[in-house]
Amino acid sequence: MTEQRFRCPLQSEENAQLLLDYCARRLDPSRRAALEAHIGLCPSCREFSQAQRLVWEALDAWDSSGGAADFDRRLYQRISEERKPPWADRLTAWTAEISWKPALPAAAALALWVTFFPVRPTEEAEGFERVAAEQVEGALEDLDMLQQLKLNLQ
Amino acid sequence: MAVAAVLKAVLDADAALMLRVRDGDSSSFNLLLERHRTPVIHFLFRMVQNQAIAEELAQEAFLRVYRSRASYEPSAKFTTWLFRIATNLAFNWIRDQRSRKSQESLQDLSASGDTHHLCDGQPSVESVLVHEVKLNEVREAISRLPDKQRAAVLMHKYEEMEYSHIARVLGCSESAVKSLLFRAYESLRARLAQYA
Ligand SMILES: [Zn+2]
Repeated sequence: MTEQRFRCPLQSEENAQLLLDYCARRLDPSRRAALEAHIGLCPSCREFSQAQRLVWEALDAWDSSGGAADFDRRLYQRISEERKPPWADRLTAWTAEISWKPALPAAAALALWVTFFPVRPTEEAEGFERVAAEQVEGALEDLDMLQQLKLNLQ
Repeated sequence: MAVAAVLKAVLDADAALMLRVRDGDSSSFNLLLERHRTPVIHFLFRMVQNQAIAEELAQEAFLRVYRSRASYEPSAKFTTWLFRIATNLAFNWIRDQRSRKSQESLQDLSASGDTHHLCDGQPSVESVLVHEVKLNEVREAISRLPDKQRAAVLMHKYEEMEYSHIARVLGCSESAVKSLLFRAYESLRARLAQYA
């Protein structure tokens, strides 16, 4: 590519992308060489690329090295909680109790619990259904996103 | 599954892993998590500028991937799908935050959120201060970009994504992405050139 055939990238927004690519070091060697030759002769492109280089270096200063120590553990915990039906926790607690307590106090406690909190299981079940419905809705939206991506690709 | 989809899955190792997750192999999900956890958290951190929120949103993104596993088809690059979910979560969070706290929120969060420093040896007090000032300017400049421009810049600069990939994540054309990036870098040049 010679200088005569090389159109100044700043003359159209589409071509100005070339300068961004140049500063991001994304140009192949031949295009880079052609652009560098042009930059040597064009004050506007020189000014643009110097400013863009400075921005690029400033952005480099924003290192993001922080890692989430127990990210996976928390995620797997959430996954296993979702898998568990809502009555599972109560069942586990209940079986743990009756394994060592005498049967009578356990039965009395159960009777008291049923007497004072007769509505709770229904509310919890409704809550669970609502959460489950939201999750299904969310998953469907995400799959919908995947479908849209598929259409875009075709 | 169509032949084209199978080919794409072979080409996209992540999609192949996701297909194994679909078939009940949880170790493949772990591999996906290992490959993409850090970039997703970093991307979200730069989007919302708060480490705890970024991790929470990243958890949600991976949870959504996991929830959708049963119906997964490798119709797009896995990372496109993952970043699309992450980007939408970030957009929603930013929108909710704006409506809750109006303008001041992002500046407050960037002041209170965890900051990550470059740690090379023992820098002088002066260089730490200069770095801190520069870093604050960068965060501020990024947070002032419109949401889509911000996401585009972060994917372009830090995730080194191609224009076509960014376009698919954001659901717009490649030329729209170029235009978003052009305008975003224009704003950044105006704000940041002096701090480099
Ligand atoms: Zn020029």
